[in-house]
Amino acid sequence: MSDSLHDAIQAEIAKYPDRRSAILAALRLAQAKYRWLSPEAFEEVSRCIDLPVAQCVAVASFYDMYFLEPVGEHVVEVCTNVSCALVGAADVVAAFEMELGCSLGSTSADGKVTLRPVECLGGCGWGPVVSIDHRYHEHFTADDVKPVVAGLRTSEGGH
Amino acid sequence: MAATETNLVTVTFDGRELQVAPGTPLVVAAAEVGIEIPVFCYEPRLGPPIGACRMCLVEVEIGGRAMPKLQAACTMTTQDGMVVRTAATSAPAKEGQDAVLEFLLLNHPLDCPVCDKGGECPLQDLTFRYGPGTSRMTIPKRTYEKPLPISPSVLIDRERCILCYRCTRFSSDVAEDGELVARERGARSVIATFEERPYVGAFSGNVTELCPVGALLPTPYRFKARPWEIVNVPTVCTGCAVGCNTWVTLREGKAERVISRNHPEVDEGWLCDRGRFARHEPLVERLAEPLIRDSSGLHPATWEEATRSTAQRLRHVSALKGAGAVAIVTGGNLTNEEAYGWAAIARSVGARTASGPVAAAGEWERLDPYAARIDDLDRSDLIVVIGDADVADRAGVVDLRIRKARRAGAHLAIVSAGGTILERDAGSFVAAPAGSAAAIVAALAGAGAAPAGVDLADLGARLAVASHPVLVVTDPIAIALIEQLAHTLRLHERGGVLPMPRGANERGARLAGLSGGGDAVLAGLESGEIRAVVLVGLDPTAEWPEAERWHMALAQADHVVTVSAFVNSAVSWSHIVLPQTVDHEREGTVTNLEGRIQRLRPVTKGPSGRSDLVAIAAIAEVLGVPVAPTPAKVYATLAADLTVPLSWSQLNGRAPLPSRGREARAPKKVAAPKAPPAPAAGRFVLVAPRPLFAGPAVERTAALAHQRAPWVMLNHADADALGVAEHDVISVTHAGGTHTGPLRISRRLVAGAVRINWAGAPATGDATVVRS
Repeated sequence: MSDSLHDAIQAEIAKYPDRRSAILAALRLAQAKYRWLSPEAFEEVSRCIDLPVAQCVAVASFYDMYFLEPVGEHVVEVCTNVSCALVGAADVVAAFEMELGCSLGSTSADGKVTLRPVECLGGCGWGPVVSIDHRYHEHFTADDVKPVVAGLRTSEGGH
Repeated sequence: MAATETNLVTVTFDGRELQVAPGTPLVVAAAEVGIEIPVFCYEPRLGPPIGACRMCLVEVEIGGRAMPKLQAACTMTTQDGMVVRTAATSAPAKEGQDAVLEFLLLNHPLDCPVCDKGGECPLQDLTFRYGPGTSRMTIPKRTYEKPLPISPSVLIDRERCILCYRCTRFSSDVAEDGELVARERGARSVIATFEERPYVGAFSGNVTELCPVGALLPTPYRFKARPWEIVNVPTVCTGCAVGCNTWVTLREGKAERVISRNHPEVDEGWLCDRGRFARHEPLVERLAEPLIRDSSGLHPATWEEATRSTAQRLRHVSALKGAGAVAIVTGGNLTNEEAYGWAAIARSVGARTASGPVAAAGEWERLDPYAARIDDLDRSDLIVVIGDADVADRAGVVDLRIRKARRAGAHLAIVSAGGTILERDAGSFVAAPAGSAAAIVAALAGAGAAPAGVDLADLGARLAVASHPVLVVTDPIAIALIEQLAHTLRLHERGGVLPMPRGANERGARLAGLSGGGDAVLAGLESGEIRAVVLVGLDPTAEWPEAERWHMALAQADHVVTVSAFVNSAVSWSHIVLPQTVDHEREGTVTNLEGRIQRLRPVTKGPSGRSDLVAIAAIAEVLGVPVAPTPAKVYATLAADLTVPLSWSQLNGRAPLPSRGREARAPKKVAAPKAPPAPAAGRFVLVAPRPLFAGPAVERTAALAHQRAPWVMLNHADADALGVAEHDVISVTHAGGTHTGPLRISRRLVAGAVRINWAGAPATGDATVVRS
């Protein structure tokens, strides 16, 4: 057991009257450590927070921000909901697919970048919105893709 | 209803006016004026309503103003002046309900003709009664792989699921195991376990009864019967001393299924998986005919020969060696009538009797002045559980009742060696050395010091001020000690003690005359005083402590008569073997842990085709003792002797528990027990209470194999010291054998102890722990 994660989760639990309330934070800490939430990571979180492991998965699988499958060093998420779709999200997705050589929902062959769709990020007035390593980029167009991908391919993991 | 006239509010349902307590869910209030509002997710036993299915939509008007949208009648509660229009009188409500049903059926396969639920399915019934009758669905429905096992005893068909969340609410809010959850979100939600691992929980089968569609089904019942060709017979589970009320589903002479028959004072409609699933497999190794031993071994005999020979041997030994040379021993699993019959036989041959392994731990009647009812837990403000065994292992669904009381605000205090499933959400947990329940009880009663390092001050203070404390001692300790604590705490005036007998009818067997303990019988056998022994429904070498001594002692006896349903190790040295009936083959009454007398109805016949009482009566007849061969007649005699106020015919349906006098006399002082010896260096104290999933029926039920899979539990510091991690396979060797299973690490199990789910003969003492 990695005690730093255990201690960090205990610190989150201490903020709430009920340890269940710390579950989002506990999952975020585990994802920060392991990059994605593997079954083993869920079991570790479950032990640290003393809640059934299935409940940890239930919460994590509800939210788009938790990765239940391995991801690359960087994660590019394109909003494909209606507002972004109307202003060209599909073109942005196609450009990323072309540039990365992988389809939406998968990781580039070099393991550097994962491309995934995401539900509304709350930037409907500034679409298309793209989240790169959890940082939002507004009015993103297909032309922006090339330099962004080049930058990601040469930099260390950042999410 | 407790509410006074002035508290009531006036609500109108479809023009019918009703006076009702404010805050009552509309679905409940409507039922009071005879109006059904259909529901799928509403189930008050699962806690507050969640309004998930939307089937109960109604139009609501308060103070002359219509609420802008349709309301869910399960979450909306009564207020004064409310006018409610259901789908029966309101066009918008009808339209809403039709739309909801259309949505619920959007992806439902409508495969009722091949669905086990068909014919007893709320979705089918309500669609038929309220549904639009046609579908506009022209595109293909979503499909899933099906059926998938949720566990070896429960299947899921996700296509049929309407996502009402009853099952996940049961798992998280009733059983509190949290194993069954909804994964993903919205239309992609599925009911699942972690990594598709089996749902392991003592109460998992209840989700198959809660499911209002054919999504969660009991595997052993799959494709076994259609509802129009079955008969559900009301009876009582005899798996433990709770006595849950059940229906046994009978089809063409075969018992195919056990479901609950809600007795609110006893089980609230829950069953444990042992009660629900054990005994459903084809029963191998059942004894079908009597056997008598001659020089060449055991041979089939007629009932007449076997019962006559039994009687003659008992009479012969008694005449030759005097009173006390015969012993009749039972594990407390007989009916009251069978126990009465054996007690009559015992009296006529001067036999010693036993209804449990240890006399001092079986004197349940001592607790009568302090006895709590199961539903006293609902009124309790403090529940104290003392002992290393889990409540669920001793008394199944009482665990759920304790959790419910805790959720309602009762403080749950647990004193144990740790590692029980109940302790996780307890209000307070006091770690005590393994095997120290007797010392804890004595210390709380002021009759001794608490074990070193155990601080009982907080618990003592809570006990002193609680208005309705309920005490549960799960480990088998001297009842006199519990009596002393109960008297000290004045539990005859407030709260009470919930007895935890080991045998399903241990209390009834004692009352009927089979009192005494196996310890005295064992000593008598060893000294040669007892020459003949009758083992009724019990193999002491498999179920009682001192298995090795019992083995030797029984081998020395001149006559061993075994009355058993299964071939067990005692059969191998028996001189006479009489087949016995089990659970739903039996007729008579049993007395549960509260003292409630409930009636068993014979659903099927045992392989021998004969009731146990007929055999007992035949033995008694040879001995010249009158025992009627029918339970109703024996019960009448028994009831008169015991001044039980209920007649046979009053035992129908949900049996009441007549109130008892609570006159308590100061008990005799009992010496404080000795502390258990510390283990030798490098060895661990063994904590091995008998698990719920143990015994001959469980062992023979494939659908329960996952529930009894062995595991080993260690404290995290001990695990670190041994260099072992969660899931490592660990072997624990103790005096009774070796137990091997994956490691569970606990932060509450006391250091220096190892907990195992050992289903063999009771084991205590110390053990070695190694990675295997």
